[in-house]
This record gives sequence, structure tokens and C-alpha cells, in this order.
Amino acid sequence: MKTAAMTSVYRSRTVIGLLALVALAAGVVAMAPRSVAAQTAAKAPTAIGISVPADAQLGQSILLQARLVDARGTGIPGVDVQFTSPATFLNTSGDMVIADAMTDSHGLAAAQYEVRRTGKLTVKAVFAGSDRYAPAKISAPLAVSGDRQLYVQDAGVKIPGLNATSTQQTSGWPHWVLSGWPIAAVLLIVWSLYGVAVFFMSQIVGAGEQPGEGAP
Amino acid sequence: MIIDLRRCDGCQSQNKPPLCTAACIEGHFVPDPMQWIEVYEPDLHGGGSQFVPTPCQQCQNAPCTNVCPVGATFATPEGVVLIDQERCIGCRICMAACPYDRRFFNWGDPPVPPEAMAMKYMPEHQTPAIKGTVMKCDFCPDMAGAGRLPYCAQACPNHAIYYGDLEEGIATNGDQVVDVNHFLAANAAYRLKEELGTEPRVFYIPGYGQKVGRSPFKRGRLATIWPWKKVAKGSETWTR
Amino acid sequence: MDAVTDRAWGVRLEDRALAPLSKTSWRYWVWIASLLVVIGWALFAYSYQLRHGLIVTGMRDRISWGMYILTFVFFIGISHAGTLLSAILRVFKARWQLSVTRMAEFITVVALMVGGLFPLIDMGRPDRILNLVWYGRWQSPLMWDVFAVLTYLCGSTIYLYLPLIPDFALCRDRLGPWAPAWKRWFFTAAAAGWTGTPRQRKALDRAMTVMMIVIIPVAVSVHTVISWIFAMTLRVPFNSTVFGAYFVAGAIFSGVAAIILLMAVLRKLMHLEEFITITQFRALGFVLGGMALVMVYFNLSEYVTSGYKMEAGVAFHFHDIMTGYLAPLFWFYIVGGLFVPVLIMALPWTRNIRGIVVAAGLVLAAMWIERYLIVVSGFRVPLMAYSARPYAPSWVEWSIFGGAAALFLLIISVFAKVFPMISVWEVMEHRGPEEVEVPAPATVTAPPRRVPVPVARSVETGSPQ
Repeated sequence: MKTAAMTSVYRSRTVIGLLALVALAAGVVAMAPRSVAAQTAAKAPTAIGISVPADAQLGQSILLQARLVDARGTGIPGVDVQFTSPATFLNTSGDMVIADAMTDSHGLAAAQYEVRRTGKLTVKAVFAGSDRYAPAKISAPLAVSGDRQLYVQDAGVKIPGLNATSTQQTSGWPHWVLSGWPIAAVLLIVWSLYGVAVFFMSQIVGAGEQPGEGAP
Repeated sequence: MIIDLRRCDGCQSQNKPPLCTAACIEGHFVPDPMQWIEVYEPDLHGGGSQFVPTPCQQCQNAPCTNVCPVGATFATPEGVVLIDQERCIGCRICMAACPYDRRFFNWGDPPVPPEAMAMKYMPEHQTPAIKGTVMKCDFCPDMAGAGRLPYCAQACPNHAIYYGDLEEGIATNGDQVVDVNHFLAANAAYRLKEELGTEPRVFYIPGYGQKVGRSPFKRGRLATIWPWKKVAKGSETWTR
Repeated sequence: MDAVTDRAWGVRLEDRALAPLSKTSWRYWVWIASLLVVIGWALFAYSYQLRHGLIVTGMRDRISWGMYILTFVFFIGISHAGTLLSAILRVFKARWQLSVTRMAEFITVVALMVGGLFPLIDMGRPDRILNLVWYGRWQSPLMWDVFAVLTYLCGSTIYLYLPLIPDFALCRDRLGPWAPAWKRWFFTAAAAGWTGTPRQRKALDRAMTVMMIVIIPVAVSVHTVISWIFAMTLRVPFNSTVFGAYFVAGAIFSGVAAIILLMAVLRKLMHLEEFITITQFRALGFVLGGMALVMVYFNLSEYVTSGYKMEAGVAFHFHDIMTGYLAPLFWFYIVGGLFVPVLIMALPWTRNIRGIVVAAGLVLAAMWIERYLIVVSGFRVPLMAYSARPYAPSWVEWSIFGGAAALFLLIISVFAKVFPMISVWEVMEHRGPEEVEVPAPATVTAPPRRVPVPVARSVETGSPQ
């Protein structure tokens, strides 16, 4: 049987419980990730376009361009756009960052990229998003062909006649002979002079007196 | 190689001696006390220190290759500097010439485990070590041939060591793939003793282990150990 | 001096010069035996090293060159004795050096032979020495050393042999009928048929002129090239352009000291006091003092220019040699090796034979120490973030060094028994005209006339017996 006092106790408990629930809900809402709240409320949608040449030569420096716009098509200035390309090396695959650039007042980001792999590559433009804007990405194909040695080990100075052969013709001599000639020349001169001295020395042998001849 | 020093803490967080060095020792049967990749701890301005894993720098203008009288040290077409221990005469002028302290001499019978003695020696896989000759880090050419990363790169728990190709311009640390030119430029990479003109092929991204939570003032790493229980008969170790 | 006393002087010269070739005292055999003992011990030490590897030395990864290489540099340095004296002074027609030129040339040849052993001793794999022939790279400073030392050795041997020809002829002619057949064969063959004819004189003159001129640039380039095994590296104390000239100066300096010491010893043992006088000691002493000043200049050059700038590593190097680990050796070298010899030559009461010999001894020891300082202090400077390690030669290294010094002395001692250690014909020939008293005519008023008379040459007139 519920007395009036007990009803008031139940009512106050319910009120307290409801209050607690509201507080809890408010706390949950307050702690919830902003983006969730923002997504549902504040993050503006964006769109990104990419422009890369359809094909390129190995070693060529190409221009990568991307344009980031908001929902109304206005360019978004001053944000970071990365250009990536999937690659595999030694059994590890991933998207590697090949360039990054900041968008200008028109939302255009541009960067130079020296192509170093051949084949059918993919280039992506990626906007990682910000507080206000949603992330966006887009990809485009890039066909690279060519056959060039890009990395040239080039330490030192090339001196003609010593360690640099003319690019016009390759002489038949091996490299070490060509640039070894200074040392060989010095040794040849010195040992020839020794030979001259030995020659003079040999003249002594035959030019002596025979025993019995008088001394002059 | 690109070594991201923002991710190297000398394995302090692992509470072990540096794992790169340990893996190299195990994989190559590196004689005690050589450390082909050695984690130095130079001081930083302001009082802290950083850890710098230092393999052979595989210089493009390698002083060691320039001075060897018999061509026992040579650069392969891929650019790796190797040593033919069957040609080396042990004159050690290469050790005088190397400015990075990266060459090691087998002063006595090399303290390697007995199983290493049974392997066939080749310059790409310097096992077993030969007494009276020089050896060093070789960038694990046998691993690259098999499509795997060098031992040190595989072993690093923080994936701080990238190994790549300067022609294709790609490198990987086993976890991520990076474009070499962009990675080096965007992170202001540098090389050791640049002013000497050796043109090393190992690049460093400045840091002190901050990305794995190390404070620069937390000094000290554990000393490297060689895990052999038994060594080749008659061999004994020496101090470097 | 009249013709009689002059002839007596010539006889004495010959007798004293050739005496060791025919008479040997028991003391000589004791000396040889003790040298052989030292060499034997060194051979044992080397075989121990061959068995166990270079771990038996004090060298390690961070100080990978030590006593062997520094002693190599030291001996090649001493070898410049002969070139300086024999060639340079001969070119300048300095007559006083003729009595010591033979000893100097011997020092050159023997020092090159002994010094040339050390790179072999230092090798980790001496069994692969022929790789230098099959796979040698001319771009390597060590190959330059091989070429240079072999060329210099060959040139010095020719240059040693040429002036020996007339003296071999003298020995051949002086052999009595009881001399053993092998001696007769040896001296006859070595004398190459020399009888002193004008044609032969001319041929000898020409040959010696050619060699004397060629050997000077060869000697300069040898020690320059030796210095380049250090100067072609990127280590802080070695990375200096002055090394070539510095080493050549040091070589001449230590070579002169070696001559003075050998000269003093042989003068005593062979009783050559009349022919090697205070003149030779003073002249060489002044060369020693002069070269000491040159070395002071070079040391100042090095230390002032690098010390002013204090590039990385230089501070450690300076501290190491001047106030630290190597300081006692450094200051002995500077004071005892450079300033004391200058002082000895400058002060009249020390400028005598004893003082000059003391100076030479100090210089020889100091120059070995200087090579030690160059090599060890160079390797001590840390290249990366590690602490410098100490170096101390082991008993093996000391034994082999002792054995090499003993070998040097042994070869010189053996040569002193086989070859005349003083160039008899040159000393006689270049003594110059002596004045001779001509007896006065009957009238008392005219004083005796003095007439120059050429010196008798025993080779031509037949040897007095």
C-alpha cells in the first residue's frame, strides 16, 4: 500500500534518476568525438579533382595538379594536399607519398614529380580533411615507359686524358691503363736511367788493361 | 638506407640491447666483438642524447675502396661495397681510411659458433669469417636477392630502418613504402660527415626517438651481447 | 808533408780500410752471436704471431696500425742517409764527405732491406703476398710504396756498387798468394776488370753522375709516398697536405743521425781517426742541427695552423700529445730530439765528437718516437661517439723490433767484413795536391821552394805490400 510519503519518495527518486540520466546523456554527448558531432552537423563536404599527364617518360618531371572545392564549388585555400602512389618493394606494399602541396586561393595544389618507375602507375590526390572539411581523394592512371639509367654514381672530377674518355668514341684500352699512364711513365723514366747507368758500368768490364801492360 | 632517428630509442623501450645489432650478429654469425651496425649515442645540444644506428655507409666515393692495394674491397654495380676475404691481404689501410669506424679486423681466430665454420664463404655472405682479413656490414645482398629486407631492418621493433633503391626511388621499412626523394627532402634528411666528400648512401632523419615516446634526457642503452654458447676451437675474443 | 809521409798516409789508409777483411777478433764473433740470439728470438716471436694471428700484438680495430708500420717508416727514413750524403753532397762537390760516403750508402741499402720487411710482418695474410702482383691496384698508396721502395732499393744498390768497383780492384790486387780461391774469385768478379784506365774512369764517372742525379728525386718521392699512406686518409691529424715534405725532412734528419753514429763506431773499431776527423763530425753535426731547425719549422707549421682553427678532433689530438696519454713521448721528442741537438751544435764546448754523437743518439731515438706519435696519436682520435682506446705494443712487437734492429746491425757487421767501409780510392784521389818541400840549391840565400805534387795513387803504381 503506497502512502503519500512513500509516493513522494518514489517521485523524488525518479526525478533524481531522470536528472542523472540527463546528466549522463549530456556527458556522453560532450565526450563524443567532435567529428561525429561535426559530421552530423558541421563538416562540409568537399570534392577533389586531379590532373596528371596520361603518360610520361621515365625520368621526366611531370606536373601533378589537384583542385579541392567545397560543396558550392569554391576552391578551398590553404590546406595540405598529398599526392600518393601505390608501390611494392621487397614484398611490402603501400601508398607512398610522392609529393605534397598547399592549395592556393583557388583551391589548386600543384607539385613537380620526377617519374622513376615504369609501368601502369596510379597517382592519387588525397586531402586528409580538417576540422571544417571532410576528407577527399581521387586517383588517376599514369603510364610510364622508357629505359634510362636515372641514378648515376658520379663522385669525383673527370679529367680528360686521365680518367675521362671522350663520349664520342670509346678507345679500346681498359680504364686502368688510360689513367695509369702517369705512374707508368715515371717508373719507365727512372728505370731507363738505371739502365743507362748499368750500360756505362758495363763499359768498364771490357776496357781494362791486360796484366803485363804498363800503367800509363 | 634511410634511418628515421625519430623512431630509434636504442631499444630502451624494449629493455634489450639494440635489436638491429642483435639480428645482424645472429644472421651473419658476426664474430665477437664486431658490431657491423653499431648504435652510437652522441650528445645533443642542450644536454640530451640521441641514438644513431650506424651501418657501413656504403659510400659512393668510398675511401676504403680507393686505397685497397689488391682490390679486395670493391663496389658492385648495384653500389654495395663488399669485401672479398679470400683476396684480402690484411694490410688494414682500409681501416685507416674509413672515417666512420665501420671496418673490423679478424685479429685472431674469429669467435664464431662452430656451425658457421661449415658454411661456404662468399663475399655476399661473409660466413665464416676468415682470420687475418677485414669485414663489415654488407647491406645483406643475399637477403635482397631473396626479396627480403636486411636483418637490421627486419628486426627493428619501431620500423626505423628503411632500405630502398636509389634508381627506382622507393624504400620500405617492412611496414610502409616511401618515395625516397620526397621522404628525404620533406624530413630534412642528412648524412654523416658530409663535408668529407665520401657521399654515403645512408641517410638520417633527425630525431631522438620522440615518435616512440623517448625523452632525449633518458640516456644509456644496454650493451650488445653475442649469443654463442660455443665458439670455434682456439678462438678468443678481443676488445675493439 | 813530403812524398814519403804522404805515401805513408796512403798506406795507412789502405791498411786500416782493408784490415777488417782479413783479420777478425773473437770480439767480433761474440757480437755476431749475440745479434743472432736476438734475431732468433724475433723469429720465434714472428712464428708465434703467424700461428695465433695479429691478436698477439697490441693493435686492435680502433688502433689498427702500430709498431710495425711506424718502424717501417722509421727505417725507410734512415735510408735517406745515403742519398743525402752520397748524392746531394756529391753533387755539391763537398770533399769532406768522401770518407763517410760508403758507410752512408750501406746504411741506405740495409735500412731499405730491413724496413721493407715490416709491411710483410704487419700483414694479416702474408701468405697472400703475391696478390699484390696478380691483383695490384696502382691507385693504392700501398702499391705506390711497393713501387717506390723497390725502385729506391735497386737504385741504391747500383749506386753503392759503382764506387765499390775500384775498391774491389784494390782488394783483388792486395790478395796475397795464400788467399782462399773463393775470395779471389769474388773480388775479381766484383771488380769487373777494373784497372784504372782512362776509359774505365770515364765510364765510371758517367755511370755515377747518372745515378747520383737520378737517386735524389727517387729518394724524395719514396718518403713522400710513404707519408701518403697516412695523408691519403680522412683522419684529422693525417689529413694534412704538408705530410710529404715533413716526412722527407724527418727522413734526412734521422738519416744524418744514423750516419754520425755508424761513423763514430766504425772510426773507433777500424782506427780511422786520421781519416774521419772532427771535420766530418762537425759538418754532419751542422747538417743535423740545421735539419732540426727545419723540423721545428714543420712542427710549428702543423701545430700552429691546426691549433689556430681547432677543427673537430684537433683539440683531442693536442690534449693527447701535449698534456695527456702521449705527452712524455712528445716532449722528449721536442726537447731531446729537436732543441738539444741545436744547442749542442750551437755551444762551442759541446761541439765536439762526443757531444755530436750524443746529439745523434738523441735524434735517432726521438725520431722513432716521432713516428710512434704520428701513428698512434692519429688513430687515437675518435671517429664516432666512442672513447679513445690505449695502445701498448706487446712482447711480440718489441721482440720483432729488436730483431729487426739486430738484423740491421748484423748485415752492416757482415758487410764490414766483406767490403771496405771507407772509400779508399775516392779519399786518396780527392785529397788534393799536397805541398812538398824541394831541397834548396847550393846557394844559401834562396829559401826552399814549395811545389805542389799530385797525390800518389796506389792503384795505378801497384800496391805496396
